[in-house]
Amino acid sequence: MANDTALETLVGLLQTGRAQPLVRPERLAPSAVYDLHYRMFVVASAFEIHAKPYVLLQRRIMAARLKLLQFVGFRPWLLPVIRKWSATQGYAQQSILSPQQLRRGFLGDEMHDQVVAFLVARGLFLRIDSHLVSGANADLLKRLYLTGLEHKLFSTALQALQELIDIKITNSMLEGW
Amino acid sequence: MDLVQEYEETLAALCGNDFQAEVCARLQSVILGFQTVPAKPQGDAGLDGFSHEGRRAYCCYGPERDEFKTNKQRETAIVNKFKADLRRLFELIFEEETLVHGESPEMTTILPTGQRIEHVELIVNWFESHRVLNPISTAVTEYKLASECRYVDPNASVIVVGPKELANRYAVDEVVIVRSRQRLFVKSVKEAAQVITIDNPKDFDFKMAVLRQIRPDQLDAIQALTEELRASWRMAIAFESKLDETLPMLHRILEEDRARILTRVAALMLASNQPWTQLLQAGTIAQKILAQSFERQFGELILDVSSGEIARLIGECPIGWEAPTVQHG
Repeated sequence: MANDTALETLVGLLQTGRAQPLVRPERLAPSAVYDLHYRMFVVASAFEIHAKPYVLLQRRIMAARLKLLQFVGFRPWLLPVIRKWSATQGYAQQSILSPQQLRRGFLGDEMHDQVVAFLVARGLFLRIDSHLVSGANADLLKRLYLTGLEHKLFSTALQALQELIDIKITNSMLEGW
Repeated sequence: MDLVQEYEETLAALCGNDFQAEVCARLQSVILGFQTVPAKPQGDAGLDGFSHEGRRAYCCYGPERDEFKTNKQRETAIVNKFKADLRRLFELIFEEETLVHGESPEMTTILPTGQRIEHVELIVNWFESHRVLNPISTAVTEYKLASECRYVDPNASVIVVGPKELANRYAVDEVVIVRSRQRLFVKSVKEAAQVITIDNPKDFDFKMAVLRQIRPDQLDAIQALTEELRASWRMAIAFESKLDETLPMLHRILEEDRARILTRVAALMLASNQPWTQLLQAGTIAQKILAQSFERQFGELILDVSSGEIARLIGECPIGWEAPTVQHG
């Protein structure tokens, strides 16, 4: 690990070499996880891919399911984890040996809760019991998703969301067990 | 899922030294007089801990989960490991496949003088098959007959204890759960840091190239420095990534802390006529800021992650350098 010695060495070399410092505070790249537009796109895609028809023209999805799906959509490298987790549901002994990284992680995704609250406020979703139902402005969800498809945007997230179709997600998993 | 089951799962997920450390921490908290036996420098004589003034002994084994392809292989490894531990307690070695006395000089310096072990617990992180029992109990009978029994009573009992048995035996509270989960988290960060690749290190490579150009007489030092900074940077990425996957609320705090570190370091550098000297304080600044947010949960990682965050500031864009300007005339 770099430690104080490494930093001292670096500073010593820069000082004696009379290097000119360049400090650009504005260049600290924030994580994409906090980009509202990106998050809206992934939520919209997860909804479009996984929501089921509801009543007449509406569609709906369990809020907890959407939370888990979008969490994996952002982190496609977790797909094998969720696949194994799903496969061991119902087998208490095997379940002990399956990875646990995801079990509580997605439950603590507060940013998602805030994004959904925003989408509900904008009429894209309606909350009905434990479900999110397409709202009056839900066509925007579809347009977001189709735009991504058309321009091949965020293809790894979309691919992960597609792969999740074949993975059985139980209610127990949605509670983090 | 209740706390006991959760603790059982966590124990099963720990391996190697982490498993042993957690078992010892657990036993220490519930058995008055539990004594751990340090493995270094002289060796632990096959004993990881003892209690009841030396009458009860504890041996741990936490094989890596993916180390074995089949349960049969795992069973064999568990049996072999515990048989080897027991032979050391019984002071036995194989000579041409025959068990003979092999003195264990460290045992006299571990157990209270004159005390013999009356009960041995073999604690393992996987106990899903009864097939480990017969080979171990048969070996115990054999060892009792072959041994001089200087340190183990001839009537001593030996049992195998798995995660379930250990979790069920004593009360489990939130402190136990948090401690064991932290161990898992720290372990996963360290493992991830070994294999993580840094995406697009072009800026970092360019900075190091400039440094080599400025100080062509220090190429070896620059190379070593480059590797150290990269290793630290990987640690910071691993920490961030694991927080993102498992504790998103804390990830957000880390994100804010990173901005604070940069602001403080940049302010110091920009305000000083000796900016490089100010950079020396960057590590301390990062450590202070990160400790406020993470010391309670991940104190063990703070130092490495702090170095990593500074390496990251250098590796990504915010802090850089260029060759000195040549003055003409």
